[in-house]
Amino acid sequence: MADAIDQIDSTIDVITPENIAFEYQLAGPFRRLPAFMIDLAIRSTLLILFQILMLTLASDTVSALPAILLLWFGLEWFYGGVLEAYWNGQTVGKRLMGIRVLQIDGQPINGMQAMLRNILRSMDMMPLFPLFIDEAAPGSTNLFIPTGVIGLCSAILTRRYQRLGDLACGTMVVVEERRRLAGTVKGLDKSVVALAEQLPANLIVTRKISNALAAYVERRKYLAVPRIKEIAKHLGRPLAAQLRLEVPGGNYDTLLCALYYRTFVRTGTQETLDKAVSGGVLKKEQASPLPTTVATTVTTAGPKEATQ
Amino acid sequence: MKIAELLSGRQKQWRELDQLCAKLEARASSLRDGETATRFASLYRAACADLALADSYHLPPNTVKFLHQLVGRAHNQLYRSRSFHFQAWAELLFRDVPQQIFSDRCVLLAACLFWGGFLLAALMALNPQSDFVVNAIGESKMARMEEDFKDPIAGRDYLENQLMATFYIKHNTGIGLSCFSGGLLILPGLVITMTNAAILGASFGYMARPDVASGVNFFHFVTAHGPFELTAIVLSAGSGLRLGMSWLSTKGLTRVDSLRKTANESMPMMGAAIALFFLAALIEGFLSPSALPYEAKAAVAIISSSLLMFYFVVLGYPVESSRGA
Repeated sequence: MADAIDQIDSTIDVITPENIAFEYQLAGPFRRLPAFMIDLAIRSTLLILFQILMLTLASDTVSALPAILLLWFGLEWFYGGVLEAYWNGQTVGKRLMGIRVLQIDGQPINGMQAMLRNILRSMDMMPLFPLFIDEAAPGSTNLFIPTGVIGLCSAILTRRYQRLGDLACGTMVVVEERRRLAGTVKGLDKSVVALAEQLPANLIVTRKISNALAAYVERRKYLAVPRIKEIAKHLGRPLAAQLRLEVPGGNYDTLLCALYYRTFVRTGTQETLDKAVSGGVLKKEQASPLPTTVATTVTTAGPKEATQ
Repeated sequence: MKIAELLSGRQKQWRELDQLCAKLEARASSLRDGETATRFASLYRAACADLALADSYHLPPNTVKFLHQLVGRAHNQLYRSRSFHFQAWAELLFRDVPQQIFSDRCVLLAACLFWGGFLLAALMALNPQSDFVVNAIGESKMARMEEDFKDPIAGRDYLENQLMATFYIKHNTGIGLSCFSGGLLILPGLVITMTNAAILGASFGYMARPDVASGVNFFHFVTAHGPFELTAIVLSAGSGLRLGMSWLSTKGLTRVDSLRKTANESMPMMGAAIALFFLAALIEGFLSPSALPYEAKAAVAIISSSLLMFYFVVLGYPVESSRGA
């Protein structure tokens, strides 16, 4: 089931009016709770600062209190709703934690949804846990700590990590981070380049293999040498056998890097590389040299590359 | 064609889109400048196309992930939240909401529960032999209430009125909103509603006892704002209850769909309740404690009750044309 597959990565697919599907990572409790705490701190600080300001400015308490009460009421019930409505689904805390509220179809939320999901938060915070238990005076003023168990359960049980307020409004919270564009891996060893030159000129790598190569080479700098050897062996040995290459000393890492170099960095002739550097722009018909013989391993007998 | 070439060709545009997104995110403002908007849109479309073709381009997984996030961020800047439509709200408030309320069984149920509890508590409190009042309100509060209404209401200064009006806005609207959100889980909403019904009923019943001297002043005080305030509580409890009932009785929809559909309908009802709370707080803060004669305050109560009647019955009576639509 497609839903079940999505659930593994906690991502959700969104289809835009441009008819393109892209994925969002859903925000779990460990991002949303800090965001809420930041907002809580901001609300409290604002209120306290305002209180100090009003009490020092105003001549007496009675004339200062109305504004304080109104601000308190506003912050208590409408802080999140108003901010999310005007700030495109973000509060200050959400912005700092890099998360955003969206409708479940990826559309931006509207004002009513923003208000409602924030008003209903008090139910997600249930049940309340009384801090003092004073048996002598039941019903006396007590501090109740919201546990948030209901919201947490609701988030766990729903596919989009929605709390009750989100369910009622049809909204979800997604992670929206700025990611650095990682180009191709640079600074590969000279021996890699040398081996790449020796690879057959008509070598074509399938999508699956090229993905595996990219994932491997991009991550190998974080791995210890024995681990690199261990991982490279599994993919490298069958590849070497198929390409009929001798790998000196069982160093399959170099082979994988060379394949990566050939697939992603350059084709083998110096000319194409120069063209790339001088900013030749890609044409689309050149861009899909998918071989007709698509296999899960490297094929050496594929058609010649279109660029050559 | 190699990926390195492709990347170097496209990277410049992606970077530009990335920076535009960052700029828009930082300012939290929309695309006002026409030239930027056009540029942004074409960059966004190009990034969309790149993402769509990422597979046939053989882009490395890391770059695909980058594109997913870039397109997501740009999407959120292009399609922004539509904040508040005040004009549409007015239409909703004066055309759709009264009709919903008129035919809403949950509001009816909430009204029966609240008024039933209120009257029951009042009757029990009226009986001088029963110790219901002491249990419901407590000795200290009873004493304070008698103390508050000891003197005839003769008006107080403006600043104090202002303070009390804002206090009522915060306190009463807060109770209303709790009633509403508590309704989502049904029980908390009912508990808050019935607690308020019991306490209010007990206070009214106690003050109506012939031997309680301050009773006259109490009723002098509460008459003017009563209709708005009590209706507002019933309304918020009713719309909350409706929210809770929606996931129990789904009328053929899934539970979540039913909840979502009902939330869309009950939120405007809660908005009407908030408006009533504000009106009630203004009357309670400024008019109720004023030195005006009782007749004037009774007139206000009558006018506000008839306004409510007009709202619920005349505006709310099911109209054929809107039914068909």
